[in-house]
Amino acid sequence: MKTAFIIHGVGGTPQENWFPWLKEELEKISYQVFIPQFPTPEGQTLDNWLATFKEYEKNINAESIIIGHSLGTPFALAVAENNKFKAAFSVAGFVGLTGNIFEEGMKTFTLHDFDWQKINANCEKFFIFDSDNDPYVKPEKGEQLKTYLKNSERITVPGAGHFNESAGYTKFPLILEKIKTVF
Amino acid sequence: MEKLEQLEQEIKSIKDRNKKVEADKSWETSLTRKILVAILTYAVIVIFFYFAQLPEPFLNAIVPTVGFMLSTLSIPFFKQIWIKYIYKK
Repeated sequence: MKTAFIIHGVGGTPQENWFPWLKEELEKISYQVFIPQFPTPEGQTLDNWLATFKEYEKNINAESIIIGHSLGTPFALAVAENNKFKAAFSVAGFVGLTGNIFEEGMKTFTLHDFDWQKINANCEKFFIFDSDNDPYVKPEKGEQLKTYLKNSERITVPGAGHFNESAGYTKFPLILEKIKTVF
Repeated sequence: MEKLEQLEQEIKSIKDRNKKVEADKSWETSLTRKILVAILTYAVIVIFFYFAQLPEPFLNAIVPTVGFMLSTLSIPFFKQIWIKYIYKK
């Protein structure tokens, strides 16, 4: 069975942004969708998030995809170091320092020593969504991700901000369109 | 307000507060403050000695000023002893 994992970002919840909408849309096309709630902002460390994700790992199979929003991206990549995915999606994602106000609480994720070889071997395809006016993530971060991720497609969406509710993102048809191309 | 923006606001407030606390702390431990306290203490004692018609106010004011400064400057040392041996118990 096709499964999808949606990973929220700093201060995030499974109910925010376009997550519930995407879950509903993916369920319509026979996906089983998981949107875990991770500890944030208190207890927001890579180890804590990996521990939270442990119970979801049994649902990863050859037809799984993982979607990370913001801080969800470095987390999804860390998960992909040890798990195979059909595709991974980064939305307003990044690795390395961002220079934004949330920097301190994200360092265990962003400064993680990613094994790019393993990540590239474990994921067939990567999609990187970024925007030209993200208040938290510079456009160079999308470019940087693209250099690390071999079979990747970068999609810069003009005016999409941080792809969150403030930017009007309660629906995200473009990602659904790209997910549909995976199988 | 949405959660991320709310969190951003909270972090900004904490950072602003920390900046103010750090400035206060730097002032409290600065040499400028110590010199200023010494000068003001000396001046007050000189004025008092002068109006109280005590002999040699400029010279005699040095002793209580030095005494006051020594007691003030040695307080952090006693604070450490208090924290180590009394507060933790």
